[in-house]
Amino acid sequence: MRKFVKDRYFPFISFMFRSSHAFGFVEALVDTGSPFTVLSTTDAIRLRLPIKSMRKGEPCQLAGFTFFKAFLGNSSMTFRTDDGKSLAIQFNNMGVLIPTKLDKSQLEDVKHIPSIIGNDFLEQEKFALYVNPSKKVSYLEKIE
Amino acid sequence: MENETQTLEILDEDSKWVTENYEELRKYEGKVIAIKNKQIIDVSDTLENIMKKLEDKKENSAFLLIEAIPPKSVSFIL
Repeated sequence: MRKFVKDRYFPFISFMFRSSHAFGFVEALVDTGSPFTVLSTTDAIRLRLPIKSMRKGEPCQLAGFTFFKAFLGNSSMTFRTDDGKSLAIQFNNMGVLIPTKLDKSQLEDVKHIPSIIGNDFLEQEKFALYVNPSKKVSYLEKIE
Repeated sequence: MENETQTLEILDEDSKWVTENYEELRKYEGKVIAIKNKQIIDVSDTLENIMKKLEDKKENSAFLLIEAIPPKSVSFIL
């Protein structure tokens, strides 16, 4: 899913993220081309994660930039269901995109890269993705 | 948990608002904007600056939508 809706990435899914290091709102692009689920550098900064001490992990490339994929350990993601209730999901594979160079220039360059919900999360929870860009509608559907 | 769900609903609405109004928001190209309750509460040149300004305003960035608007001349494809 790499389509744009009027130049904005789409589809986004919102959730509350909680780990031992951070708690807050995250808006993530559902990207079925990504094997991994990661928080963006911008979201890491917004959630005040200690990114300077997180420069470790498997190197990965995204949008021409090289990152460390740091792991956050035990985390939960709380979504809003269509009937207005909350659905909390334990997800222990959340990564964080930490630029290999942490200077101001690099942080500015990667600020447009969004958080991503990848196939690891969709597979774990047996979610299917519905997306209709023309109506700007997207949601995850649990497949029993 | 109920408060968390309500907060998520409000922020989800902000996210939809950004998508629906993205053409209008392109006037902030190259800037970083902070959105709260479907209103732009701050505009800065850099992420670092907006974080400082939000802190000065006692706003918790973890519960705000912060959007970096790319320059019109640049397209981002992941």
